Order: sequence, then structure tokens, then C-alpha cells
Amino acid sequence: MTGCPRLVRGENVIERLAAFGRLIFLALWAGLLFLIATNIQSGWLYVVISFMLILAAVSVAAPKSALRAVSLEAALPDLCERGSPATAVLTIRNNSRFSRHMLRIESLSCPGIRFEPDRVFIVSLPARSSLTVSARFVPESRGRLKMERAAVSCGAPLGIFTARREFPLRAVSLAHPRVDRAEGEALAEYGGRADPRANPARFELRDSYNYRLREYVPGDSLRQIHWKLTARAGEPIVKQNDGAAVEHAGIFIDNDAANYPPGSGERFERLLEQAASLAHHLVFARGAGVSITASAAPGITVDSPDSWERALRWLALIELQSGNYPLQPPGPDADFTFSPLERTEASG
Amino acid sequence: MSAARGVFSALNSPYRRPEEVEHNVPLRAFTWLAVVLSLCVAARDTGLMSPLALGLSAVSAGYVFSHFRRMYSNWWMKIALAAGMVAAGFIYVNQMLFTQRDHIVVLTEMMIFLQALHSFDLPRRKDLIYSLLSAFMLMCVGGVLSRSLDFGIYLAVFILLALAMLAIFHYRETSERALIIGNPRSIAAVVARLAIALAVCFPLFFPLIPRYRTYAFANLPVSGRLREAAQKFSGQLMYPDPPSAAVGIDAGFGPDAQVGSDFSAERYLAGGDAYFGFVPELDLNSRARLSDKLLMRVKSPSAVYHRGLVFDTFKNNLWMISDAEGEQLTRKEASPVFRLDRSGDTEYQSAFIGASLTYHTYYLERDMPNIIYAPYRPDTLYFPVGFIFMDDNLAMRVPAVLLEGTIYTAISTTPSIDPETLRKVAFPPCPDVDEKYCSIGFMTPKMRALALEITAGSTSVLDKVEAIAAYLENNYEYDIDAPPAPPGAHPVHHFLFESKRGYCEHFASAMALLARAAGVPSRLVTGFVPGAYNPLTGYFEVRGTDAHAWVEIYFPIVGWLTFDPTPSGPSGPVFAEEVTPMSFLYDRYFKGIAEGALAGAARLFYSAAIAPAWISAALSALAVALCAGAFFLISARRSRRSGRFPLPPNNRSVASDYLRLLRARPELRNAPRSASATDLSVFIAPDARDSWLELAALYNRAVFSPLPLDDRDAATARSLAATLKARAQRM
Repeated sequence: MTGCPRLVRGENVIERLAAFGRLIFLALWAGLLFLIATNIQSGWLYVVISFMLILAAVSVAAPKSALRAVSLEAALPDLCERGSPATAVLTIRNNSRFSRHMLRIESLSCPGIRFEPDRVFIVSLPARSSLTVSARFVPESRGRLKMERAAVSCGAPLGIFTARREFPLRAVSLAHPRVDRAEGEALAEYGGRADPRANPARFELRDSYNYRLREYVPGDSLRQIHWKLTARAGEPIVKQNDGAAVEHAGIFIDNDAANYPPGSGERFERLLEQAASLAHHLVFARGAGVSITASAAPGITVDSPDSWERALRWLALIELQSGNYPLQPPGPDADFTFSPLERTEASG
Repeated sequence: MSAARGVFSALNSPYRRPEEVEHNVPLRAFTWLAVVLSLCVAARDTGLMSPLALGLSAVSAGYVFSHFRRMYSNWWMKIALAAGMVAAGFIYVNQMLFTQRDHIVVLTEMMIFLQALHSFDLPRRKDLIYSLLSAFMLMCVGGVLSRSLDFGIYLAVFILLALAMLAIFHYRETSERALIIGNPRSIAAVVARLAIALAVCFPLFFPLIPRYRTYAFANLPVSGRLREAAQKFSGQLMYPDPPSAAVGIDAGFGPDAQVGSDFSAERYLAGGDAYFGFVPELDLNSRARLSDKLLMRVKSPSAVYHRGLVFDTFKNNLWMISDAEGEQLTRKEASPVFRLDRSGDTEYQSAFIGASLTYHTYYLERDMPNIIYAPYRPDTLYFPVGFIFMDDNLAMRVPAVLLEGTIYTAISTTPSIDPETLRKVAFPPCPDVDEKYCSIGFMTPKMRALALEITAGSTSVLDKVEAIAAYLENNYEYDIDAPPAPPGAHPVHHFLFESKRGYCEHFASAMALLARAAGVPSRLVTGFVPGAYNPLTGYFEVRGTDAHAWVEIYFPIVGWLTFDPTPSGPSGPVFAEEVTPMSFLYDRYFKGIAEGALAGAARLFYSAAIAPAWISAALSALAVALCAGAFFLISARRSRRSGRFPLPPNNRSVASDYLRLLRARPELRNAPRSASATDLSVFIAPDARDSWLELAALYNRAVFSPLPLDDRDAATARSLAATLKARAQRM
């Protein structure tokens, strides 16, 4: 049931020849020595040629034989965070009666998954044994991640010829947006942009949100100023979260592709990160329930930390939608709105 | 101060690509050891002791410098090295074109110089590989020049060092920028296994490599010019060890000797282990205990008899050389080549004689008389003297004692003729040949009668000679301690009719004289038998005990052919048979097998041994293909999951459930899949997929995991297999 290992990598003739480079070099040297030996009839040169031929034969046969008896499996964590290191588990098995040496698992990185480092070198794999390797990787994109294949190469004993074998893998994972607790707290606390350098997470804070008003005192952040009331009152009025428990909050995410300029996919990701961070804070720090809705996707409700994982999965899978998809605007219970559009008048 | 600082920083500018720098000390250490060994081996046989000492010091210093300065660009050192290499090339060309030094010696010296220079610039891993390649070339030079087995020890050590170096190199190369799992020390096991594989496979590969012979080089091996003797040389024999003066004869046969000195067999008996066959007058009553010392090594494609002196006249109970002085032959001043063509000579010219040119190079390991040993019939001679002497019998002598280390090459025309064709050669030949080869004046009547009696009924030359040889073999005994003939007695008559035992000189003398009495021209030859063949070095090792005497018989139209009547010698005319390692193995191990299946194998091996080189090449390729095929077959069978290895009970149960299900579902077994797909990736109906995946995963654990499964896993597997089977039956 095991397949034949591919001998060489590369798709064109030059690449394939390059893979045989050292073997060709060895053969040329043996040929040159043979030519000299036929002229000067030196017995020792024939001895050297014999060893070179044996070495060439072993160099071709050994890696091929080694890879025949090897199998590889991989497992990714079910859920991981984009941009944060995670651990993949690679299991390599040696089904042979002989130990195998100098195996290299390579080409681990695939679209959306960057392994650090990109290869694993196994010095020795005993006979009829398996080895589990924890390899660090970083999900570079959000959503479904899939390790489809990896390669094991072997050039033992001397690297004169390297055989390579690809293994199809069934390792899948889901990468959710990055959750920043501090950012989430700042978003929930001040109702403004947590990080002015990031893509603007334009959201509004519904007036029914629990806070109290007071006069401005030096030292207050500008983000705390309630500008509407300030305009009305003629003096700075600051809103302060009185720390009262919020039973439920609504988060709206605009995933209408029409609202995002071309090439601004990273802006959408930034909005998702902020939404995730905010939702995390509300659920875990405030003990609130959170409803997350989108303009072009079914929503999700998180009642307790136990169901937070559902939210992460939802956030991992949401995509920009375009075309004939029924759009829905933010509802009246959307306390926070994340959209690339300009800030609108707060409701209420 | 700032200027000094500027110069200092310029000299210590960092290397541009630090990621390429190699820091591994064992890698450098093994490379250094291999280089040092190669320098010693190459210089050993070329006599380059001074360059060796300088080279070793420079290489060692260079490796240390390269290691500690590896992170710097060392641009100033590279400039100096480039200048050094240009100088080395200039010196090399100058020496090759304008000096008489051996080209191999000049080349070796230059390679030592370049290796020393290169050792100062080894920052990267690939630079160490270049160094190892240079060392390998120096080892090849050492192998070319080596004539003894001790080179094998150096080669074995070099191979181990090179394997270690290459294994570490491969390890460093493949583990670069990778997560490393395991202990690098296990690489030693890799090297050990590879060394064992090399040792085991070598006896199979070595004999199978075809031995072609092209001799395409212009210059054949010859040593430096011998210092010729000061006195007038006119073909007399000269010896390196004059007989002892204690015997009482003042004029010995040393370098200052003259022809005609009083010399007797007693001098040899008292003189030690010199062969009495290499004197102007061969006395069959002389005795000597020949030593087993190595006299010379001969590089020859075939086992040939090496002629020394040829005696054509039997007179006063002694064999003599009628043309003791011979004819002087000279060569062109700048070339060591003597053309020995004799115009008008038609020997070996007939179309039915398979005559071929064979090349024989002689490497003298001890001082020898001034006799040029070469197979008959010499055609060209590469010899380091200004002139030589050759007599009527084509035996050659030089005006200098041959010292240890003398090297010369003789190209001879060696015949090959079917004995049945030879049997058709007409008889009688004597009237057409020089009378001295047919002279029977010093034979007793009884000897003449015996000759006629032995050859009665034989109609051809070959029949007569074979009859004489058979008679001698069947009626006389080889005895190295045979007593001499009484004083004044005819030694050959005494051997034939009284003692009936003797050694090679007696047998050869008897055959030569009996052949003459039968009308067949003959002459006595002394020299050396081929010697012991060394399959590793390819040389024949000729020792003192290989000194021998044999007969040359003249065949009309054909020429002189060699016969060896000594009981241990070959029957019939002696032709040069090509010797290869394979034929050597056959003669030693298979020839004696007379019956059974092994005889068939022996015959097959014999056919391969004597076959032309291209058949040997084809056989070697076939053997390699068979070995590779067997290897792949065995490895494929082992990698197949047959479950033949012992499994715990639960594991065995799970494996059998899975395999049984697979057998019942040929569409699963034969499902299309990529070449390297595992069971977990095979296509299966969506509704059964989860069950299948779970069962396949259990199978993998059962068969390949070192841990035994528990009862629950076994029960789960049974349940899954039943479910899948039921689902398949419903479909």
C-alpha cells in the first residue's frame, strides 16, 4: 500500500538533472579513473573505482529503501489564533526492521501556515518505531487551514543522492482573529478607537449603555469626552463607565464587500480582530452575553464563556460577501458597529 | 594612530556571507587528517620528502588559520594565494617542458603545493569538499605509483576518514535551518554500516570491472638515467655483488670485470644466493640455494616468461653464448626508446599467427645483473641508458648494473597459435636455420639414439617436441637436491641415463639436446617464470626462487616458441595468457573442481575469466543489475504490511479485522489513489467515511505503534468492521 518514493524533485529536465548532480559527478570521476587505469594498468585504481561504484549503488539504493518504509502523519490544533505561534504534531513512523538515519521532513509550510523552522531533521529513527515531533507554526491567515502534504527526504548515508517522498496529510485547523485583551478592554471602556494607528474600527456606543456623566477633569483622556453632550453643554462632559454589569451587548460587523475598497482585505481582518477582542472582554471580564451579527452572514450569540469557542469559530469563518446576498443593517441592539464606513449618528 | 586603526580594520573586514561559514570542528579535523594522509602517501612513492615536510606544516597551519579566521574576508590572503597558484602553475609548466623529471613527480609536487595554499582559505563547507577532492587525487597518484599491498592500509584509513567527513558534511547540510531531533553521535553508526557494506561488496565488484588495455599514453614508464660503467663495455655481463674474494680468484664479475675471467660454479656456491644461470657459461653441475627475496615487480597483461640469457652452444659440458658481445644499439638522444626491429626478419609474421604487442614494465626491487629481462620477442624497449647490446638470440645487456629502483618497459610481440595449426608445420627445418641450433657434436651416441627412439613415428615438429617432453615428464623426477654428475662426466647423459633426477636446467638441457638430435633447432634460455600475481596491485612479483631455465624451439615459418619441460611447467608451447583478477580467482579456487553442479559454475566462471573484456563488462553490469533487483525486491517485500511480524493479541485482532474487510471490498483495495497515499486518504463513500477512518487509524496503531492496544480498541475495531461490512452488503 505504500507508494513508490519520487526520486527527484523538479518538473523540468534541468532540475531533475541537478538532483542527480553529485551522482553524475561521482560517475564522471569513476569514468576518468577508469580511463586512466586502462592506460597505465594500475591495480589500485581499479580498487578505488570499485569503491566508488559501490558507494554510488548504496547512495541510490539506501535512501529509496529508507523512504519506502517510512510514513508520516500530521495533526494541527483544532482552533488556533492568527499570527500567534501554535504547535503541530508530526508523527513519523519507521516500518522497517532497520533503523533509518538522517531523514528530513520538509516543505511543511503551506498557504496560510508558516512553520518555524520549515523543516525537521531526524538524526536517527530506530527500527519499527514512531517519533512524534512538535513543530511550531504560525497561522498567517484566518479561516480554514489545511496541511495537504509534506515531504520526507533522505540522502543517507553521504548525501550523494537524495530521494524524496511526498505524503498527503489530512491536518486541518481553524484560525480565528487575534484576540487582544487590552485592546478589548480599551474598546469597551472608552468607546473609541483602542489603537489610533490601526484600521479604524468605527463603532458606536449606544446611549443606553451604562455609564455616568461628569465634568472634565485634567488627566481625562480625550476619548472619554462625550462630544455631543459637550456641544450641547458648552463645556467638556466626560462619560465614565460606572462598571455596572452589562447583561447583553450587540456587536455588528460590516462584511459587505462593497463597502471595502479593493485590496483592503487586511482592513477587514483588523476590524475582526477588534471585534473579537471586544467580545472577549465583554464575555470574560464583564460576564456579559454578546450577540455578534453581520451585514451579510447569520449571527451568533454567546451567552457564557463556555460557548466562546463558537464565537471564535464564527469569527474564523466569516468572509466578505459580495453579489446578491441579502444585506442587513445594524439593528437597534448593535451596541458596537465595526465598519469601514464613516461614523454615523449614534442611535438612541 | 587612526591610519593604523584603518589598516587593521581593513585587514579584519568581516566575511560577506556569514551564514555560509562552517563552524563544525570535527568536520575540519577529519578533512585535515585525510589531507595529511594523502600528502604522505603521494610523497612516499615519489620521493618528495622536502615538499612533504613543507606541505604538512603549511597544511596544518592553513587549517588552523582558516578555522580561526573564518569569519573574516581575508582578502589580503586570497590575493597572496592567487599569486602563489600562478607561480605554482608557471613552475609546473617549466618543469614539464624543460626538465627530465618524471611528469608524475612534477605533478605531485605541484598538487602538494596547491593543497598547502588552498588550506589557508577554507571558510565554507564546500571549500572543505574541494580540499577532500584534492586529497583524493593525491591518493590516486599514490595508488598509481604504489606497487605493494601496504597502500591498501592507507587507502582503508583514507576511506574511513573520507566517509566520516562526508557523513558530517551531509549532516550539516541537511540539518541547516531545521529543527534537529536526535543525537548527532549516531552518525558514527551510519559510517560503520557503510564501511561494512563497502568491505562486503568489494570482493564482488572488484573482479567484475573489465580490464581494458589501451596504452594510449605517449611515454611508458622508465626511471631516470642509469650511470653507465666507466670501463669499455662490449656486452659482457656485470654483477652487483662480486663473488667472495676468499675463493681465491681476483678478477670477479663486478662492474670492472672483463669477459673471460676465470669463473667457476664454486664461486656461486660460496657467493650466496645468486643464480648460476646468469653467467656466460652455464655449468649444470653448479648448485645454489635461491632465496625468496623479491627481485622485481612486473606490470604485465599476461603471465610471460622473462628471458635473461640465451645459450645456443653446448660444448665441453657447458652451455655457452656464441655471440657473447652482441650488436650495439643506440637511441635518439632525448628519448629513452630503443627500436629493436630487425629488417628482413619474418618471425611471427604469418597470417595464421595471432601475434599481438604486449607491454611489460619492470620495477627492480634489488640490484640485478646488467641483463634486460623481457618476454620473447622484444620489439621496443624503454630503457634509461644511452646504448644497449643485443645478441643473435635477441638477449639484451646494458652497460650498467641495474640498481634497485630501475624501471624500464619492454614491448614484445607475443604469438598465439592453435596447436593443431602448429602441428601442420613442415619438417625438417634444420638446413634453413643457423647450424649452431642443430649442433649435436657434444652429445653421446646413446643420447642421439634415445632422441631418435623417442621421436620415431612423429612427423611434425610439434609432435617430436611433445614426445620428448612427455618422455621427460614420465621418466624423470624433479629434485632440487639432485647430486651433480661426476667430474668429467657429461651432465646431460648422467641425468638421462644414471641419476634420472634433476631440476629445471637438467630438464631444459635434455630437451634442447634431444630435440637437436631429432633434427629440431633449439636453444636454452635462463630467466624468470612469471612470478606470483597480486590481484590488488596488478603486478607480478618475481622472486629469487622464480629463476628458471626452459627451451625455445624453432618452427619453420612461425619462429621460436617457448617450451617448459620441467614437470611443473605447462605442457605444449607456452603462450602468454591474459591474467585478470577474475581469472586469478578462477585458477585459485575453481579450477580444481571436477564434478557436479559446481563444475558447471566453474566452467561459467572460467568462460568469463578468459572472455574478451566486453563480455566481462556485460557480466559485471548484469551482476550489478541482479544485485540491485534482489535488493529492491527484498526491501519491497519487507515494506509491505503483511503482518508477519509478531503482534500482541489485540493488535493482531484489529489488523485481521481490517485486512479481512479490505479483502472483501476490492473497490477499496483497488481504489484510485496517488502513488504515495496512505489508507487514511483513500476515497470512500461519505456516509461510511468516519467509520472507515476510525478503523484505518486503529489499524495503523495496531500494526505500527510500539504500544499494544487494549480490549476496548479491539472491540471498537470489530464493531466498525461489522458496520462497514453490513453497509456494503446493503448497497
